[in-house]
Amino acid sequence: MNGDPEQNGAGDQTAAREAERDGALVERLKEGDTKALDDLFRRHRDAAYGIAYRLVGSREDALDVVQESFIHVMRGIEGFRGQSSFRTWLYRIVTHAALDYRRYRSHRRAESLDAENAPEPAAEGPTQQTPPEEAAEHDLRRAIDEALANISEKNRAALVLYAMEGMSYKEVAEVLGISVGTVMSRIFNARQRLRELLASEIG
Amino acid sequence: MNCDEAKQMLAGYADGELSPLENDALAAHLEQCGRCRQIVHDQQRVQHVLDQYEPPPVADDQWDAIAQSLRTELAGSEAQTELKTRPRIADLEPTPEAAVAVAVEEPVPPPPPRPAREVPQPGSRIERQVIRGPAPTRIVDRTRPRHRPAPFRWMAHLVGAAAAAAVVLLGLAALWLNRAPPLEPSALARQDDVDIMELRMLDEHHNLVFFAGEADDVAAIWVEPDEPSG
Repeated sequence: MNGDPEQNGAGDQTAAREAERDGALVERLKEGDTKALDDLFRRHRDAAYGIAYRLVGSREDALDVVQESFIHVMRGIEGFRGQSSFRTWLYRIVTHAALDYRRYRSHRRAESLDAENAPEPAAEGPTQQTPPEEAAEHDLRRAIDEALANISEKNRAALVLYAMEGMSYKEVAEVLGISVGTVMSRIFNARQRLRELLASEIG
Repeated sequence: MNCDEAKQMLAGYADGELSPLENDALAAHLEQCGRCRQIVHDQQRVQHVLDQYEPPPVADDQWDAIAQSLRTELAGSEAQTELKTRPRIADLEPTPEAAVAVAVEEPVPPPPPRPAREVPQPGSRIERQVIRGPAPTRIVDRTRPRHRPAPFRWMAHLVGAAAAAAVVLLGLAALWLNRAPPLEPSALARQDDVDIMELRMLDEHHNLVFFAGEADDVAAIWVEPDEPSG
C-alpha cells in the first residue's frame, strides 16, 4: 500500500494499543462491569453514530441505531471471541442495524396510508440566526444525504465505512464480509454515482 | 493494461490502496489514457467533498440518556426488550383511528383457590417449589367482531338441502326420460342358428335378454323369461 511507512507504522501501533485497550474493556464487560460499558460506549459512540447517520440519514434514527447496536453488543458480548477487533465487530453490528432500520422505516412509511400527507420531519437545519457558513454546511450535508440515499445499499455501506470513517479497504472488507476487490468496486461505483448526483456541488 | 482492467483499480489508485506493483502498472496506463485520468480526478473530487461532510452534532444530554439506558439494560431490568422491534416512544403514540382499534387488556378473574399442596417431607423427591407469577392477562382484539350465533342459520341449511334434493330429482328425471324402450318379448324370436355371444341385461320384467352375433354387428336379440325365484 501507498503512504509514508513510518506514519503507517505509527498508525498500526496506535491501532494495536487501542485494540488492546478495547480487549481489556470487553473482558471487564463480560464480568458485568458497568464502568467498562461506559468506557466502550464513550470510545466508540461517535464513530458508531457517524456510520449510522450516514446510512439512515437522520439524527434521531441514528441515535436509535447506536443504542440498539450497543444493546446488541451487551447481549452478544459473551459470544465475542476476539477473532476480529471489537471495533470491527461493533461497526459490523452498527452497519447491519442501520440497514435493517432503514428497511424497517421504509416499510413503515410504505404501509402508512397517510404517508403522502404526513408532515415533513423537523429539519435539522439552520434557523434564521444561523451564520452563513453553517447554512452552507447544512446545504452541503443535505445534498450529500439526498445523494447517499440514491445509491445502492451495498455501495453506500462500503463508501461510508471507507470514505467517512477512515477505515482501510481491508477493514471494510472484514466488516462487510466481502473481498477487498469487491470493496474497491463498490466504492468506485458509489463515488461515480455521487459524481453525477452532486454535479452542482462538485462543479 | 486496457481501460477495462484499469477501471477495476481506479478507486484503489485514487485512495492509495493498491500494492506497489498494481500502482506502477496503473500509473503507466494513466500516462497514456486521459479518460481514466479524468475518472481518477472525479473520484478524488467526490472524496474531497465527502471529507467536509460531518453529521449533525449530538448534545451531551442525549449521549447521557443513551448511556443510562444501556446501564439499565445491563442491569437486566429490560432483559425482555426485543432488539429489532423496539419502536421509539413517538411510534407508540396511537393515532385517533388506531386508538379505536387498539387491543386492550382485560384481567382474567383469578382462579378458585387450589387445595393446599402437600408439604414435601425432608428427603422426599419433591423438594422444589413452583413459584407462580401474577395472574395472566387475556388480550382481547376489539377490531374483530365477536362470534355470535346466526339467528337464521337453520334456514340456510334448509335451502341448501332443498337445492340438493332438486338436483337429485332432476337427474333421476333425465335418466327416466332417456331410458331405453322396454323390449317386447313377443316381438323377439329364439334364434337357434346363431351363437350366443353375451348376456346383456335383465329387462324390466326380469326377462333375460340375449344378444347374438359379432361384437359390432348384433345379429339377433331374444328374450327368455327369468326363472321365478324361490
